[in-house]
Amino acid sequence: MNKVELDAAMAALDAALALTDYFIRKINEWKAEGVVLPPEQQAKLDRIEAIRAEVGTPPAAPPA
Amino acid sequence: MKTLRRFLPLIALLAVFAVSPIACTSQQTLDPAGAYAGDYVLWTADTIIVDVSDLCDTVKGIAQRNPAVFAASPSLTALLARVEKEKDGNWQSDEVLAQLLAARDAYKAFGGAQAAATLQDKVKLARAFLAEARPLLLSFIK
Repeated sequence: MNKVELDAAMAALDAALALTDYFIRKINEWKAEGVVLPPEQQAKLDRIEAIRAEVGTPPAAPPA
Repeated sequence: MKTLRRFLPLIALLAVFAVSPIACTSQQTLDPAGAYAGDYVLWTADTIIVDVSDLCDTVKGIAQRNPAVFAASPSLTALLARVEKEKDGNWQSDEVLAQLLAARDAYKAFGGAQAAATLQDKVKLARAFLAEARPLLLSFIK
């Protein structure tokens, strides 16, 4: 492998690593968007308690 | 160029490796530090409870603004009576929200496969109710 070939190989490797790095960053962004954070979870639980007051309180019976 | 071609399989492999987890991100995940502690079954059930509750409120709101239309339509009158009964403060075992709340509470309190299966049955029941009620409201939303 002469110097020109080595430079080309290094450039190809750099490109591959940059592409991989780009996709990993994008995937982490998409994953972060899909995570339901604690405040949102608490807000839903609060809604459930408000709805329970409107519906009445059915007893929590153990499964048959 | 010949050297670059030699690295093409490696580039393709790295790209595939990088993209492959995308399929795993199609479903929401819960931060385990939250109130649901990562329990997706309970989260899904509560989401449906909120959906059904919102639908009941929507029906009541539309009925208040369009009393003549509701009075003239037997299906809308029946839907209004049903949603008013759902949220009258007196739970009945045949009500969708009451059944969902009872099943989610049992699942939360006792856990187990049986409770999860019962809860999922109630979620199906609620989805059927939503699917039945939403088309009746379409003419008001257009």
